[in-house]
Amino acid sequence: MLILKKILKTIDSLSMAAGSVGKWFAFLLVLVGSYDAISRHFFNAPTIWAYDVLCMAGGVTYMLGASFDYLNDAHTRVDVIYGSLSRKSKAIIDIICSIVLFFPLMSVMLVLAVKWSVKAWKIKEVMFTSFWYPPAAPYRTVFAVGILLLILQGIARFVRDIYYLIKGETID
Amino acid sequence: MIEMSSELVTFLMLGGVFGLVLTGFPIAFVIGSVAFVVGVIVFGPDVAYHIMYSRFYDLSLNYPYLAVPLFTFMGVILQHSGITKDLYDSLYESLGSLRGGLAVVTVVFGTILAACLGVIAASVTILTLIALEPMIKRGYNKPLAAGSIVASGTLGILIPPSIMLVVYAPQAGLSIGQMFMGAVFPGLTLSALYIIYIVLRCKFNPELGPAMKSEDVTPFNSKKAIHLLKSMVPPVLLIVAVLGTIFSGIAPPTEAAAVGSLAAIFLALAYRKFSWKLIKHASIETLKVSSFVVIIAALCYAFVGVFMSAGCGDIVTKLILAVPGGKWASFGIIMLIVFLLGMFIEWIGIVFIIVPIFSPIFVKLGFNPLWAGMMICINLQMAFQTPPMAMSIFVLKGTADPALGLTMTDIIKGVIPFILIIVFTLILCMVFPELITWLPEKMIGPTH
Repeated sequence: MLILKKILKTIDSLSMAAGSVGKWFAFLLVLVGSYDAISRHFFNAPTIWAYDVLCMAGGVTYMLGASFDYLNDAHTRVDVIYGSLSRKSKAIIDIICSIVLFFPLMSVMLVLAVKWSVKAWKIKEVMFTSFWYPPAAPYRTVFAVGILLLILQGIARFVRDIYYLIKGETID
Repeated sequence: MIEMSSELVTFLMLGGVFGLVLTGFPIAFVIGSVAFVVGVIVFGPDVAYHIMYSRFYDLSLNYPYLAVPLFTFMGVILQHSGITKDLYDSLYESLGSLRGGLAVVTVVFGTILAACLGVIAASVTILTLIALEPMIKRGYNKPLAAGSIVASGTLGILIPPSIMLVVYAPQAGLSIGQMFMGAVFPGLTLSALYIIYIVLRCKFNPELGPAMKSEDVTPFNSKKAIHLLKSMVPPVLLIVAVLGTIFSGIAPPTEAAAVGSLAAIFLALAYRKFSWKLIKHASIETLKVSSFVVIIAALCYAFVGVFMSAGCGDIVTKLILAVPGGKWASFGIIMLIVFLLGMFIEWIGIVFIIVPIFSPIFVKLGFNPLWAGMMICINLQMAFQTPPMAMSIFVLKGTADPALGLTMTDIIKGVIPFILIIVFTLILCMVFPELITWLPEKMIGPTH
């Protein structure tokens, strides 16, 4: 059990770390966005790179936030019924729904995300959203990492729910 | 691949989503999985996988949606830099001697908050923490106090900048700036009607909102006026500047929001509230909010991709157009559907799925898309206040100090009149569409 607990804690801290790294990209949005707007309007010097940097920084924020939100149970739920259920019923629902609605979808996403990021590094894929043509591989990789972390956090929650169902107490 | 009629696919997808979200599992994954399973059945795994991944990936790099994190960031900084307690206190001192004055202050305060923050949970929380206790302690009628907090807190999603409008516009093929402009007058109309309602009710029934006792009232002097100006002008000026740059077309919302966030940081510096801790806090809040919103957006985008490719959009269009009674009946049905869904499901799911499906219908029926979109957004105001799924009510109940003895019945009783006011405003906007379209047309030309 001690090992299991350690693994769960490690996954939690990975998600926490993803959140604390990701948050700087949210702040980067503010800095780059203002820099670009000011240099364009006041110094007539638009940057060629800001558009893509902003889009990617946004993407990194969302994708690293995915597991952080799952850890903090911040993904929106419709809790009309769910909210009034007992802890045990919630665990049962989450277990079933994870098997049906979470793992299959996210596993396929992960496989595709990894395939695409490997391909992007191999063919040196570039983005065509601006005239800057930045390489796509770094973001494709972050995208895959974000999904991997989300799945790990999903597994951690799944294990906790099963443990609760069997033992009637939380593992932590 | 299995051959299925489009009717069956439509039923499976919509029924699947609206049935399965009730399990309480995060809606992003419910919506994504329904699309995924139906996609695999209808198009086979390869095509379905590709639709899902590429749409998810593309949306995560979407430029207009960057306004979601940026406006969230700006809101969190403003929330921690002077605009809250100070502003309320100064308003309280100026309007406290009026009958029902505190409820009026709540609405005014809520309207200003709405213009600073784009997320309703934040405005309702602040209003509850600051405005509820003074009202109840002064003997205000509890339903009236609760209703004014819920209604004016919910204005946060309508009065720009608003996250809801940011996510609505691109999906309906409208510009975010247009939506923001369209929302200005409906938002202010609502807030004005709320104030009129409160003043009238307290005039005819003074026990509902007793005025401050004359011995408690200190005369309004220049010191108070300066205090009011000091706490109100900078944040309001900031918002006017941000919206002004968007309305006048100087900068797109994303840029305006970035510069607005930077300006909010300077404002925090000026109010001596700045710290690295604040930046970290704002950044992590931004990550938290924008991540779940955009992930829902991305999976809904994938859902709509499957839905439309399977020809389901046409089925829904046919159904709505087949309603007897002409275009207004079809419009009424759509509004009713949105209202009913709003009672059960969070707005994000509604906006992301309903908008792409219904927008083409509005165009077919010959409605101005901006006007129709704004009607939906005003309608969704009610979604936050109609149980069983009523975010604003939950936030109020969850934040309110239990010692104040506010019950769910009080809140629901208090909210009903405000809901009727929203319905009345919807009718107003139907009779006078200029309420919505005048400002955008004045600023950027025809909205058709």
